[in-house]
Amino acid sequence: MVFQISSNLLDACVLSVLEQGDAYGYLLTQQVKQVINISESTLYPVLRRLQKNECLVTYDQSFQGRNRRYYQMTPQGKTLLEQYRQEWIVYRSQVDHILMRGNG
Amino acid sequence: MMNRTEYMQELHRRLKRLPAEDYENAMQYYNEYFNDAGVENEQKVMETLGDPQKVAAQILSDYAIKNVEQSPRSAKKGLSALWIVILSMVALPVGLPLALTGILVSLTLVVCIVLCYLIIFLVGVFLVFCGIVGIVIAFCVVAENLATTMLFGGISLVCAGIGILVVMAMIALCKKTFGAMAKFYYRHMNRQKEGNYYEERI
Repeated sequence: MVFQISSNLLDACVLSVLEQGDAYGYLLTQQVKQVINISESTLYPVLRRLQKNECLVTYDQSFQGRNRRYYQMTPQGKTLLEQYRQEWIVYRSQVDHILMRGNG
Repeated sequence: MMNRTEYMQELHRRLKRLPAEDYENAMQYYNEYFNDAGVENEQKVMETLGDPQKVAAQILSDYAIKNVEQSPRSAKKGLSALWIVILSMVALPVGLPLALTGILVSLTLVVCIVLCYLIIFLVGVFLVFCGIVGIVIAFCVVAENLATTMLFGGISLVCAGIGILVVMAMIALCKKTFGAMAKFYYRHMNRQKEGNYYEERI
């Protein structure tokens, strides 16, 4: 993977996956990794950051006798996600404009 | 190759200084991650995660950045900073005598070394002195007994020679030792000023 994903874009992707439904750490990582080859191996720092910014909350659920911590997007997170989506549309067209030069 | 327990132990070692909440969250996340990946994927997970040192360093730096950015008036974060200040003050009654002892021990060491050097230096001087006296005496009896003069003179010269060598060696040794000690203390003093979180480097 040549292009490094910026931390903001990664935040947006995590929030987008969570929009589909709550997820626990391992599952979330697998889902994001399917689409983007992230160089950082887990999303723990990302999730902590989003939590500190009140974009998501956590809750614990028991599974097969052990604990699973789920992450859930907050309304604030949803707002931020929509902002990121708007920014991405602009950014993508800017990059296409210069990179794809009429091919994109 | 590490196993999961060793990996988590290494994480624990490096993160244990974090506030309880941050420590618990991090440990819980990675434990659950291992659990969900399944035992069969243990090695693969560790390969993906990378060195526990790097993982811990990332967590620590995120924590440090977060604390710099937060307003000091924020009640929750202010408590962390306050807690650190309180702990430092509490540690002082123990820390201060320890530091003093450390200083005293170092000073005693220095004094001992200085005394040793001084003694050897004086021995050197004494040898030179004896040598000179010996030569003088040797020449006093030159009229009576040439052989005695030669013998005495020779031994005295050797004596003086050794004495001079010892004196010169001691001066050089002194310069080297105290130069090295000065550098050591200089570096040690600078290290004290660096922050706490990055103390443990490989």
